[in-house]
Amino acid sequence: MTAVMQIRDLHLRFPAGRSLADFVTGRPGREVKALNGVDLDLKQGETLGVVGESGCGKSTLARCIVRLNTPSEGSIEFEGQDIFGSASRDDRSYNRRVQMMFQDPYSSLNPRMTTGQILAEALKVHNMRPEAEIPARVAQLLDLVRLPQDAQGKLPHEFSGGQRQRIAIARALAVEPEVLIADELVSALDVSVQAQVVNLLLELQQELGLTILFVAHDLRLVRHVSNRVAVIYLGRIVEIGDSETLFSAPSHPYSQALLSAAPSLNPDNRGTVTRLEGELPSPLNMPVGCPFHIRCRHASDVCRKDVPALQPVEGRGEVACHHVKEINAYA
Amino acid sequence: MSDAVFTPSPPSRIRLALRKPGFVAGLLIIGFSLMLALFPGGFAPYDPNAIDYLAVRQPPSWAHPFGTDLLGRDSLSRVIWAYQVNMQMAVLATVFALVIGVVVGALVGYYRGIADLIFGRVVDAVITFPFLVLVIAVVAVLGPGLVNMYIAITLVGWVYYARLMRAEVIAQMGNDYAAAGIVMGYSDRRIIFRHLLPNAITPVIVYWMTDMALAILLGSSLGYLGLGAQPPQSEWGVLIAEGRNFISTAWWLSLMPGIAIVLTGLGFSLLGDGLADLLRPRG
Amino acid sequence: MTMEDQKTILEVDGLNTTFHRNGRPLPALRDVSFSVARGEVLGLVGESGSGKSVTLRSIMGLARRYGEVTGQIRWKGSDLVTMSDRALRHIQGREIAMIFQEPMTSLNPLLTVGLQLEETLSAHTDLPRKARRDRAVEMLDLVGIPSAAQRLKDYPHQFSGGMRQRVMIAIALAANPKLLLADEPTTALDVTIQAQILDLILRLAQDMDMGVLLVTHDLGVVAQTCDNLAVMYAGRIVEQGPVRDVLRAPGHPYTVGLMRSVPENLPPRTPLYSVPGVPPSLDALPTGCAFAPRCSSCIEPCLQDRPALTLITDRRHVACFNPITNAKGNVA
Repeated sequence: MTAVMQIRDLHLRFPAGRSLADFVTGRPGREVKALNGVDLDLKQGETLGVVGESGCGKSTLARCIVRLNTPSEGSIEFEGQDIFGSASRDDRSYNRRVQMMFQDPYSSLNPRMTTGQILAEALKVHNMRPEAEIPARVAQLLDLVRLPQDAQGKLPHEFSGGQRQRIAIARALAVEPEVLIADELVSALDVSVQAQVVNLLLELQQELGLTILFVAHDLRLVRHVSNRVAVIYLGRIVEIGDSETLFSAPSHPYSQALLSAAPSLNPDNRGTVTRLEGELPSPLNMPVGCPFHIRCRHASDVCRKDVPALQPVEGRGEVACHHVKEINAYA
Repeated sequence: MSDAVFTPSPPSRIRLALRKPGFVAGLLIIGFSLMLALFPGGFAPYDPNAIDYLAVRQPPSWAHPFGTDLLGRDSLSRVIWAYQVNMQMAVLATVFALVIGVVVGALVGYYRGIADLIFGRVVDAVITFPFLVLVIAVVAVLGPGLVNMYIAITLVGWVYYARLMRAEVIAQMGNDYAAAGIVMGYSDRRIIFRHLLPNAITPVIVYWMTDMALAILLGSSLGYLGLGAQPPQSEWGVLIAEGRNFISTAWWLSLMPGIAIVLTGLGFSLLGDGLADLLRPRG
Repeated sequence: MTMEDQKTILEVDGLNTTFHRNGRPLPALRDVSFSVARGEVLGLVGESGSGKSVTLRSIMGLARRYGEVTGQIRWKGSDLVTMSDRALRHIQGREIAMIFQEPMTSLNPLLTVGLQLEETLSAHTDLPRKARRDRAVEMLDLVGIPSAAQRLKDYPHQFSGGMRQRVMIAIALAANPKLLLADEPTTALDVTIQAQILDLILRLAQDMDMGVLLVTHDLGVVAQTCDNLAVMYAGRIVEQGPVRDVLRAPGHPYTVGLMRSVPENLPPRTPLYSVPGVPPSLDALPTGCAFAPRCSSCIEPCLQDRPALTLITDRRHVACFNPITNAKGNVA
């Protein structure tokens, strides 16, 4: 599989408040480090799951890919072109080819536009179809996401959460993208509705050959839909690899803790889990060394000094941990 | 509870609004005021400038329901003709401020950055002064008169609209449909004016209604002070000023235009309240 | 569901709650019955609109302000449904406490955490000022907030989401309640924090011999936390029993559907099961079983009559004419 997207050493620092005086004097304000050197390849036709706790940078990563955020350092290349380079900065065809869907089905649609208008607008702006063929294409899109045709004349508030997410999917598909970024697409939905939307997404992927970046905090769901999974902690990938391998045998102590914290349906699994102490440190003052060492029970002196690099581990994926061998030898 | 089911469409917004007595009253008052302003000749029983020295300062009677003034002119006709000037004030003193404010506020709220910081300072500077004081200062520079008054009120007033609009646009930017527009590759202009503006403008329109009432108040204050409309033009502030020395003997001179001001102000406020309900997005 | 169990503290019997929308009655709860014992954690599961949160609000006396509540909610020999607002206020917060999904909106952002804790204590206990402060520190300590004494001076926004939920729990438990109503307490939190908070609630329930009524949409949370479970659909309990038994062999087709839509122990990237159709609108419930239109084991009587919640095996109740036997969820 070839990589359609290559993310290299991506950093993003948000200024945490900067006054007019700061602008004038050029004084830097305080910074929140949202991404701290992310390397990631998105391969043609795959579903790459991204998991982590809130504030870990997974949504920021998604937003960088669609250029809603601009990275402070590093690059994102789409088919060999830097999407933030001067040549492609204003290239709107990139926006057509890489689409994003959002978490909140209640805010991601303009409340004053009907479904028909929302879809037609996307088609018109990108000249997807001649004017005369637009109504037919809108009808086709509604079929594609299994919405009734009378949805066209309705406003977003007349739909349920699951139906709105279908409209959002239809809008994204209207411009015939190659890559879909799904940021917590089904998190706000009830489980049975969740299942419907996920099924739709998997079907559409098959049908249209889409590449999907699936960002979510629901580990069971990510495991189910993904081919590969990346675990993010404090703006760094700590483990990445084949979905089944990673979920059945996580190698990084954080992945292990994260997976065991997910509540299983089996009541007999009670008490067998390794609980993670403490919370995510503030991204305003990042720990020196391995970002996880504060909460890690395997932490040693080297973890408090050096940041571990992401390295391939025999029979597993890539893991960023100084002690990956020892931990997994006795685990 | 309505999740996962189509909710039946509620009765139309307009019909609901028309069930509210306040909104209907506002609509009637402003509608009638507009009629008076557009066709004063059709309603006024006399020529507002016809002088009759034989009937000066007559109290209200069947012939002159609002009495007559110092020169024997019919007060009712003068109050009615004043609608033309005062309603014009309500619109002209606010509409440019509205347009400028909406555009500047939307742009600043959308782009933020250094322009926003500068805008913040401008707002601080304008808001620390009382509105009237600033307007009088501008009129003092430009000279008295209606047109200069409109310029003065617009120069100061747009800041209030822009501030409101900016806050609303920023709030709307928190909704993912704005981000979705960016991701869809829509132009900034489309996102600002087709997506954000229609959703952000409701409070601004409501404020505009109250501001029109305030503009009439401000305009007649300036007229009263001799900085706005100039006599012999019929304008409520001018009319009140003319009657101020006779308040104990010819009370109707000041009272009647005063009532007109209160009534129109009330009309705009009621209309604003009703519009707030009417324009709120559903969902 | 009888009083024979000495430890039973709350007994809900035939609870009906009705709201009104556009002049039409909306039956939010119908014939809901269950009981909670000391030290027991009962999970209330269902999707949005199933009535699980309304049940909590009815017990807390919040629902009757907006609708009609009938039936019985027995608490220490009195009935919370007919109790006066005044008398109810003595029970709310003191004997029965409640925590919510979003801790930020249920804490007052303008008051320090210490002040809010002491406020609760002065409302519900007779402790003198000094003792109240000590108790406040003790409570923050109890819920696992480090350097509790210093943090009393902090405002809610200075705490992280998980810490805020701990603060909420500390405030709720300050007056030593006998029953804790928890409305999706971990839904807004990350899994690692969720695990910590659930552990905390379990530990406190045991230490304080307190009953817990936990509302959630996540069957996994129930499996890991609760002793007993009640599944709600369209305002009624459709299945009830010990967690282990229900999740091993769910009897109601809806419970089976819920369990099967959780992607656990499934071949990856295969279609997930989802119950066909959508939940009925409460103002247009079908005659007969509310689940019948979506049910694959629907038989003739389901369309005419409403099945009552009946005992099928030891402590297991199912409201179904054609319950699933031998069914398995995804639990291997």
